[in-house]
Amino acid sequence: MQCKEKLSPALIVKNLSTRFYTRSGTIYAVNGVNFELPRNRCLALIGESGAGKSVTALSILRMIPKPGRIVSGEIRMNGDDLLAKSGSQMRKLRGEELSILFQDPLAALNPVITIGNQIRETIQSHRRASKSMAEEMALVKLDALKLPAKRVYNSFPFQLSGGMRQRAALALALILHPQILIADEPTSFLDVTLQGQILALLKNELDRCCLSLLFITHDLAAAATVADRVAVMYGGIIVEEGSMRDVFGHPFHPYTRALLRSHPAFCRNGRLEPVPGSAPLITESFSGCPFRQRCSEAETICAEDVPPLADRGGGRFAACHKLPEPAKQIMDGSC
Amino acid sequence: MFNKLVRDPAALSGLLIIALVLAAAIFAPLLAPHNPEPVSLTERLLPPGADYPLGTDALGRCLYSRVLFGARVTLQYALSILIVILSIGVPAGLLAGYRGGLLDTAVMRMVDTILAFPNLILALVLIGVLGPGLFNVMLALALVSWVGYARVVRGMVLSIKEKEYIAAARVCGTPDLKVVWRHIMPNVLPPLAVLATLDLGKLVLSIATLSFLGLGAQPPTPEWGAMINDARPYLQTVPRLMFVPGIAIALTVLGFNLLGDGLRDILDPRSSGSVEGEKRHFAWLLPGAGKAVEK
Amino acid sequence: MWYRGAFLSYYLLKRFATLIPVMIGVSIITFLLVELAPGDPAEIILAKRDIELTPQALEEARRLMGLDGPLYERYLHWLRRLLSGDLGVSYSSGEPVAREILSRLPATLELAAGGLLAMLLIAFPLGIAAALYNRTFIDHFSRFTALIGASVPSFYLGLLLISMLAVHLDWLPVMGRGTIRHLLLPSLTLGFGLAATYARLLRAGLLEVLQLEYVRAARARGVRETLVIGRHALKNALIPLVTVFGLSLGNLLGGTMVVEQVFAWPGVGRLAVQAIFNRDIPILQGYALLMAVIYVLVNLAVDLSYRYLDPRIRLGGKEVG
Repeated sequence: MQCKEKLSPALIVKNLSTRFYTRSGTIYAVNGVNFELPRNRCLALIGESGAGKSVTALSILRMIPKPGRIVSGEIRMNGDDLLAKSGSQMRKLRGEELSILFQDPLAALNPVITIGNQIRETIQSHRRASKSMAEEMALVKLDALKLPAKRVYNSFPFQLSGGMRQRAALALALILHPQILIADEPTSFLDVTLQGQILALLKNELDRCCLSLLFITHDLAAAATVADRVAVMYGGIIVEEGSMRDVFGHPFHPYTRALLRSHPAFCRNGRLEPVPGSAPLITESFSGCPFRQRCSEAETICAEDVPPLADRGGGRFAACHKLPEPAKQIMDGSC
Repeated sequence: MFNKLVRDPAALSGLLIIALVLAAAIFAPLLAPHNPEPVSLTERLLPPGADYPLGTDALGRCLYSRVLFGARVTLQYALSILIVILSIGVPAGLLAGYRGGLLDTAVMRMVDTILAFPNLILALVLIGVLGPGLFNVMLALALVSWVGYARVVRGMVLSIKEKEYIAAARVCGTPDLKVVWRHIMPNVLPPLAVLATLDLGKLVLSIATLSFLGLGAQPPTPEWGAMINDARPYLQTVPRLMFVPGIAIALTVLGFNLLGDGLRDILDPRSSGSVEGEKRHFAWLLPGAGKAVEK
Repeated sequence: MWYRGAFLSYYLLKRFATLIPVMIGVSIITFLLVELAPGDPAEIILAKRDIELTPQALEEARRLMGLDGPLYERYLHWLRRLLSGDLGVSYSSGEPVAREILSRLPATLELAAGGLLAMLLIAFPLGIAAALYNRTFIDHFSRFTALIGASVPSFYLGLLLISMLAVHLDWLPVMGRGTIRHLLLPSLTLGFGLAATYARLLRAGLLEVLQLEYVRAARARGVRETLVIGRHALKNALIPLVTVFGLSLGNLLGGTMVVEQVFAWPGVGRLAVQAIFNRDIPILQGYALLMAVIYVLVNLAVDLSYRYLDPRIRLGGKEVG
């Protein structure tokens, strides 16, 4: 629509690493993640639970709880590095420019405060708005998300159905028209029919306003319905990135291939093959490819170096030693 | 478990304080330089010196010796009361919870009725009826306190009874006593230990309070609460008469509180501050916390 | 919606019904206090009134006082009088017990209210600070303060405060009742000891709530921190505390008795302690009964307010796990 095709990315994440220094040892949750969120597009971040997707999301919001810490990296939004911002600058940014939708709306909405009051306090935390102005804004947004606005406004979360609750949470996240919305598994607590509803609403918001969506999910089918690009995460790094069609059509990375084979909608000739083994919890600084223990093609080199996320041409990136020599690396930022 | 307790600095200091008070109580006759009771009017209100480490009180008695023997009186009565409470409250709770029915109703009615009175006030009134004295303090405190244990134990028994392994044991014809002893008691004991430790602190406070009011220890018995009451006229002139027994009470209760809190942290992993609590905090980070992709 | 109101009044009815056996139990225990007490009440009354202790006079007095029948008859007689507001006559003053106690009740309620306020003013800052600055010096300091509050006997604390603030520095009146300044030290003494439990529970509750998703979500929306703590976290942390509050009111009432004694506060607790030394059983009986009734009724109110505070119970008519 009015948003032009070729624009600078809404969000650039470079070499982001986040660790948790717990008493029983360090957890290496995110280990040098690179990706760009194209403006007015949707990037799906997919992977198993424990891959570091949610920690990446919380890192972008600068909301890593103690004893976790962002140890290195850059998060650029409109040219500014979010990691260089002060606490109060970040507070003002959250909700206003950068918003998040959590997976379980029942947990993410305060049970003893009405939906209306939760929306209103969000507005009034950012803007000077009278009670009636804030209410008016809230009602418009609720209405736009096809909710019975007046009733939802005065309801407590437990009085709403699951689907309505998630739509109310979406209204809350979008109330100030943020540039970027991070949706962290927004459908995994919903029935299949309601999942479609929420995905359709997200797509609708994406088309209607200038919103860039970082869609975090383990649900490949859901990713396929909304995403323009896909980044596959494993062991705290991005192992493959590319356009939705390319990655799902011709996956490069062995993990992506294994992931697709394990999903009924993408496996070939209807035979499901679960990924062998389980996702690692990385508790020590690792060398080599995090996927090598579960990879059928692993060789000695895989145990030595972390494979770089290399440009494979055609806007595709993959981090695997087994692939032919990369044309050039994205680490120099010249993608 | 003891190792964990010792590693927690707060619990360890609680343990040490209690060991200290216990040692004072046991070895009071050896440690005390003087007999705590006889009055000596020629040696009234002497300042601390070589002969009297903490000086003498208004009746010429060695303050140091009286505080040591005070530990003996306090701990003796606190422990006796606890034993009485446990031996009424625990069986009552077990029986009510395990048997249920009319017995349960009867016990719980009694418990509810006693709990309808503020604890200390009912004890006070009972002492009023029975007459002042440490023995009556013991009776009164035991009568008002056993109900708490009965209620807690009953609640735990009711929840454990629902477990399948209890049903299995009963189906196999295991005698009730054995079921209670082998399967229920081990579950009941840990929380009971926490409760009892914290309650010892409360009992020490109650004994001292009632004695302060003149309802417990009678002169010349060396008891901390009574000593503070005796020291009131000398609040300004000889403050040490009040400070010393006051600190003794506060330290003893602090010891039981520290130890009780430490025990609770160890036995209840849910409570904050423990490593398990932290693990729970980070459960969402661990693999398998959400729905796995393989599904 | 009709069922909401119906639910609440059904609950009220049920809750009131549970009070009946408790109240009967309370009356039986208080009645038995006199029965257990050594000494014949009729004899004591006659002695008080300087009536010669002839067998006839004694029998007459017993008959008038309802002391001649079997136990249950005496109980029913006592209960009938109780329900008409007659608690008997004080052995020492000869005044009706009800009048004696009621004339001193305002002083005790004033002290209890002061103690409650002091408790909240101490427990809230300590508990909130400890939770927000978890595992820092502030946390350790406030937890230690709370622990000291729980460990120092209130009568000792009261005497220390008198010695420091009232006598040494001459800031506040030492004893008695009158102005707000008189109320200050007794309230502080009473509140400090009770504050420990709340500070601890508030800290634990806040820590629990602060890591919940909705607090994270509120912060992720950029809601002001004062609102996140003051509204989102505190409101949810306080709801479970309300039930504990009702239970610890017993300690508050028991505490007034001790503090009244230390500060020569002219309340019912002081009257009761005096009654013990005068062996004035009717006063003790009235005191126990009154305190139990206050305790039970306040707990009922707390219970109802708990149901009102949590919208899930108030509107949903369902219990929360």
